[in-house]
Amino acid sequence: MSKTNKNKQVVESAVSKRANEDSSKKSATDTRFKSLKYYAIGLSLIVIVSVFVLNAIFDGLFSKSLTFDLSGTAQNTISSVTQNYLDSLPAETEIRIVGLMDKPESLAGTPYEYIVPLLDDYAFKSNGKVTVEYINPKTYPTIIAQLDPDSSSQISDGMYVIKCGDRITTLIPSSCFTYDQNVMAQYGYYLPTSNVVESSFTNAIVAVTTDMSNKAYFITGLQEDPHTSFSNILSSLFIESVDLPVSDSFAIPEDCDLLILSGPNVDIPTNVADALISFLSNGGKLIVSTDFYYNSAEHFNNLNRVLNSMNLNIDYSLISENDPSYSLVDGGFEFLGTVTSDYASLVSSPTLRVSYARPVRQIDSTLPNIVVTPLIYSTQNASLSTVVDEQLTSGSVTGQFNIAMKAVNGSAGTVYVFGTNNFTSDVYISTYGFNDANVELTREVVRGMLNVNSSIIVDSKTFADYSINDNLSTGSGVSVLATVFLIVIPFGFVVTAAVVYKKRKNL
Amino acid sequence: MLAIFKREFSMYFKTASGYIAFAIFAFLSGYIFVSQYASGKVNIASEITNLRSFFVVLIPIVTMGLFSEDKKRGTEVLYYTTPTNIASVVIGKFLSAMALFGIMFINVLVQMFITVCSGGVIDAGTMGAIVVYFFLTALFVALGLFASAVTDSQIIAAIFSFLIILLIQLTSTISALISSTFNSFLSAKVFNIDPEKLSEFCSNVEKFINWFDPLSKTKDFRYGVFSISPLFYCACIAGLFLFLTYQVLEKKRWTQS
Repeated sequence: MSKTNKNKQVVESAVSKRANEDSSKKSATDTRFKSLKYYAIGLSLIVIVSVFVLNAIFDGLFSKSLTFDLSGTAQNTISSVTQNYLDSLPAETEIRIVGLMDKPESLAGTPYEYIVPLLDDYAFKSNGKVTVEYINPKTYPTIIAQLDPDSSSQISDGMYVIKCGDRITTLIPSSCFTYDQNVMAQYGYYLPTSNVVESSFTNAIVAVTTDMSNKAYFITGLQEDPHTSFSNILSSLFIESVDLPVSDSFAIPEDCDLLILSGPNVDIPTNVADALISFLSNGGKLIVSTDFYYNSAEHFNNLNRVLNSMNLNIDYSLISENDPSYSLVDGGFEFLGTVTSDYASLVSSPTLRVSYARPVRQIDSTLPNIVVTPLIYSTQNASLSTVVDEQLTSGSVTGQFNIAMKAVNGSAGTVYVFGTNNFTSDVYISTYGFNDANVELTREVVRGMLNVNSSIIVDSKTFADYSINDNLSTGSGVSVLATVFLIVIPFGFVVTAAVVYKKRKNL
Repeated sequence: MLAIFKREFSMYFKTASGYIAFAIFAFLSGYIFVSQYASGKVNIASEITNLRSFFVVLIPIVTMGLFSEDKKRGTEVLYYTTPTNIASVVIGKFLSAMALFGIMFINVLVQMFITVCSGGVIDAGTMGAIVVYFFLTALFVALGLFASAVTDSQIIAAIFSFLIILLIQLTSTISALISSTFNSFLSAKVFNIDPEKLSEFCSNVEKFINWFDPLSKTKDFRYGVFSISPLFYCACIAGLFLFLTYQVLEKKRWTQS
């Protein structure tokens, strides 16, 4: 009995010893496992944090220098002209660009495709001088009052507001593009042809950040064409634009460096004509442009009284170019006018687009001390048409006609007269953009009149054209592609998948 | 690594999942291409950008079985009991999935060829979109691989990667929503916060969240604007998920021993 108990004790002791050994081994393994686990979690956390910190540093240091715009026309990158201007601004400059909308997210196929990335680039490359925000007035109704406490601008939803200090200007997204006017006329929709987003925003920034050296007044209230694009051109030349409505008490402000009568469709009132004559005789500078389209019943007698004081006259006729190599449309009402040698070196093309032009001529009774020079003229084969009994009648007068002329009087009063709106109108400039030769001439005319030396001129950017050959994108061509890409290939894979599945499902 | 790559790559063609992924990709890319072709304008960059939206479906299909399938078959234990380097296993599987997406992309290359033959344009934007396509694929495949490693179930792995990819694709929307919520909440008069400062704060919150968004970072490539920083980010995040996958497998190796 005692021997049995002794054996039992020995076995129990052995078992207990083994259990203790196992327990201590397990404890050691658990400790090792725990430390490995903590090591792995710690290491993972360190790696995660390191990855983001490394990227933040990399982003901060190299994102600007390691970004390359390889697109054909650098649509989404600000040009060196804009970059230099932004760099020239003082470091403390704060320009706010506020889109009065929710930030557009689906950009493809919308105007914002070219606006949002470019504005990001402005913000990115301005060293903090430009900030871009999107604030929807429907969500934050007070934003318009915050931006424009004096209600000096007509601000509404969907616009971009550009603000620096107390100065404010606005841009509408659709005005940042040029459109094909032929498509508009024929099919009734806007087909963008080029992108003037950078030009528009840079000019707007210039307008709110620069003390303009000159001031131009647009005479308004004459059913005239809009002049937003012309204002942008002036802004790029550091010239401030202000509207000057006609009224009974019309007076030309003393700070007026340049007066512009752009595309009036009705004649100017007598008091305005008197003021203009006085303005010119005192050395004032005036640009006049009109045409023979919406105003074909208007003779502009008062305007001609002003022009006659400078030995000029706009005739009540429509020029029709009969030379086929210069005519652009049937009837010859749109054609290429030739630039005179005095101005040819200022523009990139020797001929400029002219449409529905009235002839401008030097009047017979010349006044003394006035020098008149032509700028643009037609060929010898042009003819004149007039409206008789509300019908356009081709006249028998043929010959060379001046489309634009300049006159300078003894007191340095200067007037440029354009018989077409192709040099000043929004319709034309928005169609052909700021790189167009007509715009070049307009710019040079203004530059010469006001002795402007500095300018911020950003070119328009043409769009990439993804069109394919019309002959190939026919119904049959598309049907073949649809059959191959939508039926043959996908269903081929589905059938193969079914076969593979069937063969291997029992494996 | 090469052996793992060959085995995994061949598995896509021995099971239905690879062919189903091919079929979906071919149909979607074909649909976008034919629609563009019919309209007379073909922008391959736009097509590729649209295709990225379908990663949310394609990536889980391709990656859900990468580790889960091994667990189901019981072959997973071989990774831990043989002298195979686990990093080689992870990279081999990752490369096999990438190769599959590369082969899928042949469809788009054929479309590019047709576009050029039809007088269309392949420009820097298209090249940018292709570069981004592969970097984002790498990021999402690595994410899918990680999802497959953390769970034993293919379905859970697919749902996990689907949700994460969806979240990434909706980052910019979510950030706008958060910013807007902040603004609405803090603009209450009781907080008395200057509206301009509040607007700036909300804008910064939105920017901060968007900083993590790889899609937002790479959006300008399709316009021909190339930047190294977003590609570096995508590569880093892909590397991070591969590392985490490796860590998950390493943990299992300890457990096995």
